[in-house]
Formats: sequence, C-alpha cells, structure tokens
Amino acid sequence: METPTLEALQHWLKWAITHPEGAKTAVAAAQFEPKPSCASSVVNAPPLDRFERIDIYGKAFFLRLRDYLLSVFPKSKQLFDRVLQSDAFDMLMAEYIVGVPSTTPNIDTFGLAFPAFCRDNASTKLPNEHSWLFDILELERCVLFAHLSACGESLIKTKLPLLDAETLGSARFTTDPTLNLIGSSANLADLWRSPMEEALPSGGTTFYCGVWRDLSGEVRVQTLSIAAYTCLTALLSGCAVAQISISTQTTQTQIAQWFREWVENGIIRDILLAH
Amino acid sequence: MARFASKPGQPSGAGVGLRSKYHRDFATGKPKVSWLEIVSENYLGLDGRGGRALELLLQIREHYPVVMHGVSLSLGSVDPLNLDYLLQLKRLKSVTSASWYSDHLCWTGVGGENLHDLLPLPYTMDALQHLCPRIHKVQEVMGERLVLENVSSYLTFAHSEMTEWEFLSTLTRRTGCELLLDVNNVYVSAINHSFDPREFLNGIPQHTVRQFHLAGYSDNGTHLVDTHDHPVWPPVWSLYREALLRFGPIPTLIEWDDRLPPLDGLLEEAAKAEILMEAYGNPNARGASALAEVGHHPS
Ligand SMILES: [Fe+2]
Repeated sequence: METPTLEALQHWLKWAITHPEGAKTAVAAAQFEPKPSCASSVVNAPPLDRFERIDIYGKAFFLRLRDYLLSVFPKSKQLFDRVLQSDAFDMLMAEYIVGVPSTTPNIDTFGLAFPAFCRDNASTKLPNEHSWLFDILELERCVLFAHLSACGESLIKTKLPLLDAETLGSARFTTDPTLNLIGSSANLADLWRSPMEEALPSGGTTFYCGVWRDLSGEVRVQTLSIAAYTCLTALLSGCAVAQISISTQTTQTQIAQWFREWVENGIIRDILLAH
Repeated sequence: MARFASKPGQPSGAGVGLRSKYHRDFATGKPKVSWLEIVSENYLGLDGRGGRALELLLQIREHYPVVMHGVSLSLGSVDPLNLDYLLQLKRLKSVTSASWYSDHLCWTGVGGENLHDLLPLPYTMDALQHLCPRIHKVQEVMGERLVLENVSSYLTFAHSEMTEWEFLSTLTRRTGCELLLDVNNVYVSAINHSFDPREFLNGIPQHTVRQFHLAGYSDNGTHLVDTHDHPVWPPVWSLYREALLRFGPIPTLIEWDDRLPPLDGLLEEAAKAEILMEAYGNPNARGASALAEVGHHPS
C-alpha cells in the first residue's frame, strides 16, 4: 500500500464522509472516487470494518447539519409538514447540506442561504398557493440574522429632546441594522408564533411584518399595517419624515405616533440631521 | 461548589461550558461555579463582531473567569489557515478577557469546505511537519500559546508512525503549545482502538497540561461516541483520578452539549470534580479516599 499524502487523504475522506449513501456505496460506485483511493489507509479493526468507521463520521456530519437547520428553521419545518403532508422539508435539508457545503468557521451562519436555496430548488415543485412557505423560511432567516448581528445602542433618545419639529421633519434616520421587512400572502408573525394552530392563508390579502432587535436585545417579530410598512420602507430608503407624509398620504399625526413607538421599541436608532 | 478561589480572569477548580440554554441563568442570577468555558464560534456573530450571544456573554463575563474553546481552527487541514477567523478569535479574546484559547488536534474540512466535525489525522512525521509551522503561526497571530485538545476518534490510519500521545508530546516540545487533556476523549478512543488509557496519560509530559475536559459518552455497542449528552461515566471519573495524580488539580471543565440538564445538574458534575481536585495534596479531604483507590497519594 502506498502512503497517501495528507492532501489526498483529506480530499478522499471528505468525499467519503459527505457521500449521502455512505462510504461503502461511495467506493462501490468508484467512477467518482477521488484518486488516489485512500480506502485502504483506514484500518479495518473489528468489530467495525473501515467503511463502518468512516460512516460514523458520515452519519454525524449529516445529523449535525440537519439538527442545526432544524434548530434555526423549526417553524418552517412544522408548517411545511403541516401543509404538504410529505417529507419535502427533510429532502430540502438533505439537498442543501450536500449542494451548498458550509464554507464558514461558524456553523451558526450555515443556514443563512437556506431559504434562497429552497426557493430556487423547490418553487417549481410547490403549488402556487403554497408559495408563502418560502416567506416563513425567510422570516426565520431574518430572526437568525438579527440574533447574529451586532446591534449598536440607541442614540436617538438623548438627541430627541433637543430637536424642534422643523428639524425633525427634515431629518433622516438610522434604523436598527437587524431590521428586515417582509410582505407575504400569509400572516407570517402569527404563523411563526403558532405554526400548528393558526389558520392557513386563504389568499387575496397581503400581510406585512418586521423583524428586528429591540432595546432589550431580544428579537421581535411583529405584524405591521400596510401604511406602517410603507412608511418604514421609505424611512429605510433614506426619506425624511416630511417627504414620507406626502408620498404615503399618511397624516403627520399618525407618523408622529409610529415614530414615538419605533424609537421606544428600537426600530429607529439614530438621527442624521440635515445641514 | 466553587471552593477554589479564582483570581479575576484566572480559572481554577471546576468550570462548566456556557451554552445558550444557560445564558438567562447566568445573566440574571450568579450561579456558583468557578469559571466558564465558551465555544468561541458561538460568540463571533456574522463577521466576528458578535451578536446577541456576545452581548449576554459580556454581562455574564463580569462575574466569572472565562476561557475560549474553538472548533474550527482546522489545524491539521492542508487548506491555508483562515487568518480572518484567527483575527476574529483574537478580538473575541480581547473583548472577553478570556484567560486562554484552545482548539483541537484535528482537521475540520478541506477544499474551502467546513464539515464542522473534528476529523482525525494520521500520526506521521509528515503530519508533524505540517502542523508545527501552523501552530507557530497561530501562536504568532494570537500572541500567546495555543492550548491543544486531543479528540475522540473512531478510525485510525494504517500509515501512522507513532501513538497519539507521542504525537501530542512532540508537538508540545517543538512548538511550546500546551494541552487540553480531554479525559473522556482518552477513554473513548482507548475503547474504540483498544489501547490502555493509562498509557496515554503516562505518555504526556506532566508540565504541558493546562486544562482537563470531562464529558459523558454514548455506548453504541460496537464503539463509544463522544456525544457530550450524559453525566460523566464511572470509568472516566476513574481515569480522571489518575490524571489528577499525574498532573495535579488542573482546571477542569464539564462539557455538556446535547440533551442539556437543568443548570443544577451540570453544576453537580462540576462539584464532583472539585471534591476530587480538593483531595489532591490533602489526605484529609473528602475526596482523598476516592483518590487512594486508584493510586498512592502524592507526597
Ligand atoms: Fe473536549
């Protein structure tokens, strides 16, 4: 037996460990096996043969990443299972683990690309009325993103008392960097809270929700009215309050009320004064 | 519990692994435990600047010495070292004032991919030559010694030229790195590869061990798996007593990662370790008889 280089050994083992059908099947279907084969470098030591030993790592690999995805997308799993009555979600997880290998040192970030993968790979297989299932995946991605993101302190509270109405009207604002807004045919915030009890969407209505970290640091998922969603979208795009009122046909009083709420709950973090 | 007085930032006695399930317990109360170990990657966030977990850790950290334990250094990989990741670790160490950082003698991926597992290396001269400059580089970037842990393994390589303990000892000699001796991993690998775990302990130079790990394995019938989802099993406690006799009352960490018990259950395991540590050098202490079962008390 020729001694393999460390490089050959690692590439071969990676291939064998990550083969979805296990090391023995992988080696049997040898046309895709990286050369040189390093199978004989692994010791056959009863009671387990070399392939069973490699498969301990293989099973752990798939299980670890599957458990991780389930920990990040628990509500998506419940809703896919509830709506589709199939193993579609499990299949998507398995395909993602093989198709989008992790390249990050931090396993916590492995799931960030999962919703986009599902949309790209399963949207043609899902009836149109169930396409909101991708939105619940997106919502859970936003929750993950909010948990993983650094979130500065709110600076606006100390600045606000010093400002007059005219200055405020022309100012632009910085929102919480973890804020994400989602529109969907499903009431995502309610489904996220009670995935097995909440009524499933019947179509015809668009719901909006926001995900962000509040001032206590906790992640919030909240339904928004269409008007509030539109105003927040405008704020995010850098509009001043006075412009928002005109472009969204919302009264100044309503905007002022939301504004206070968004300062209190951490959505608005800082003010950029016009010079 | 927590009979070992720790200087600020200096772990001694028995600590526990801080896991997200316990963040609230530690952030709101001040459970009595000597020190905490964090899994470094869990506090890096998206870009190394941390997220919610780091915010909570910084609150908790004010009350406990902390050490960092990484799982993605991939020291044995033929891929280049990930310098961005190393710099993120360095920043985390600085903001948490962690006492030391550790990772494993393993590789976790190759070809730019991370399998998020601790994969075994062949114990060869070639592998030694590959690892030594990488350890030097890590120590140069971090500005201090690496603490290197032995892993549990489920396979061995036909072309290995030395034992795992000979390999580890050589690494410490050539690079000055220290060791995190995982007593459970020694036992699991000893059963899986039919060697005497005491030979492993006796093969490690006494002054090189900075920290111990204790954990619970799962028995799969044909082999043991390092699952970290049980209390420490009796044979591992026995081996730990032998490790105390050989290496002294080195800071010891209870690792528990899956099927986590309520915090009290975890703290009980740490208390057991501290009773045994207290017995070291004190024949009248409560754990002395337990130590005497496995060997002569050190004079
Ligand atoms: Fe360990």
